[in-house]
Amino acid sequence: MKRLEDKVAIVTGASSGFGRAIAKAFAQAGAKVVCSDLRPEAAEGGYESDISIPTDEAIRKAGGDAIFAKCDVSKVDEVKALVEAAVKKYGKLDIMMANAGVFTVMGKIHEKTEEQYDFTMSVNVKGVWNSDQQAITRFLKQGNGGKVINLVSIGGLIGLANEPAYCASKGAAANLTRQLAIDYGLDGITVNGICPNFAATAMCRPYYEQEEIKKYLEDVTPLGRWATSGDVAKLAVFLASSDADYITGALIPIDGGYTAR
Amino acid sequence: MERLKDKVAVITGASSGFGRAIAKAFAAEGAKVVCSDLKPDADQKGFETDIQIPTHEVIKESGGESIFVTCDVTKSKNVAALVTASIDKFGTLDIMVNNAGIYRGGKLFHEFAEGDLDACFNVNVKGMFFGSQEAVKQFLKQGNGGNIINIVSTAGLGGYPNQSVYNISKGAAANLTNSLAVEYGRDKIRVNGICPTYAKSALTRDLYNDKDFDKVFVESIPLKRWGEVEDIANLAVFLASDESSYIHGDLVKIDGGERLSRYSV
Repeated sequence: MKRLEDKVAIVTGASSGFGRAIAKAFAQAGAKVVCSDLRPEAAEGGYESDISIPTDEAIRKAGGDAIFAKCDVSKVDEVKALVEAAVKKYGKLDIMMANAGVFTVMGKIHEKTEEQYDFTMSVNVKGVWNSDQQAITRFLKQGNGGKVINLVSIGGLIGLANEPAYCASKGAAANLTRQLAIDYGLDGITVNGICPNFAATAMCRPYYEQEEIKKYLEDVTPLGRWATSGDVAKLAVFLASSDADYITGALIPIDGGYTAR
Repeated sequence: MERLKDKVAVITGASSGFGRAIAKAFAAEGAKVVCSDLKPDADQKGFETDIQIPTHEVIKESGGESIFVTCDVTKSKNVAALVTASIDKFGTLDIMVNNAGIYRGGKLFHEFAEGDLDACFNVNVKGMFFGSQEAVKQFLKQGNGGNIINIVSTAGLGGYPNQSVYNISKGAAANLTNSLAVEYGRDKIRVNGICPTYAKSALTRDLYNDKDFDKVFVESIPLKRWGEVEDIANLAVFLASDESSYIHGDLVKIDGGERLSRYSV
């Protein structure tokens, strides 16, 4: 029996990067996946070998079951509609992978604009809030527990240079994760966070392509390399599976040992 | 499922509790398992349904490959001999699970004796120290990386009441895990810690039987139940396998949310 056999998962930000890899891994593990994003097409600048094919199509080509549902996670009505679309298509919801996230540009706080702050918060905090809220509402209605997984980042655990809005937003997401785990444990709902460092994705491309930054991170990371989307996807599958039933409120770094120092 | 196919794992404290469950789970995933403990027989206070049968025999009865090696982890020569015995039998070492541990509790800090501190340190710190040293030496010799999993406990993360000597020993275990991760990542030796809260095992049987403790404890946990040794074994399989290939230097809580609600009203 596959590890996520018959489970229904929503993945936000599923068109590219971590979300795309997670959606594909969930499908490979037997789940039916609702891929959600602003658009189905992958972000240009990503490193995916099948980048020209939208995630849901790639999943179906590989024999899996997936649909695409457009959603701006910063708008609660769209997230409500997303959950309704999942239930309409697949009959239930088991897993919410709140992965959608943004990063503007590197810079210090005195150089930042209010717009950059608001934009970052609207996706990285309100988007996670909306996704978790609507998923949990659905789980409570179903009365059979559920799994919420938030893509938090190590930026939610420690400060990262030149990323004030990002870190503030991820810190909020981290503590929301812990808090929700307390409130819904009795309902059999687990809530956990995945905390990667920089990875080779469209979001980090500007930094991956700068030899100095690329090498610096490799030097300070005990495992000597950047993360890949595939690494993150494997952790997401574990947390979504029944193997992780006793893990809740955990913020799990997946950073090659960066925060162990 | 064959997530650990052909891997060779040494597990200390494998006769009972977490160690036993981890040994069985590893074997079920295709690993060859060296079970190690002071004696092969399970602690009879445990909850295992097959408690009469030593771990390595249960594994063999299920079609797996396993041997038992006596080892007192507080003695470095014993631990070196344990690793040698594993190489002699299975030819290589891939995974070291430093699980052997003891518990001391039920006293305020000033009521503990030096002997209580020494006991906790000898098994929980020195045992993990020697186990990690011998594993690292063997991995470096083999030149092909390796995997270390330390059973740390949530007690390594905070000051739980009435068990200060245990907390101190587990805090040391936690930072030993961090130190190993930083120094050996380049050698592809992946190191992580598992931090359970109280789970149903021989080690906690007395607490489990204490109805007052049981009530307070279960109510303090968001998931409203004790841990099961199988929960911990599932996480150990994940950390031992390639599914966790970028997870390194983590101290992963598996506590039903227990640590979160310590400050809730």
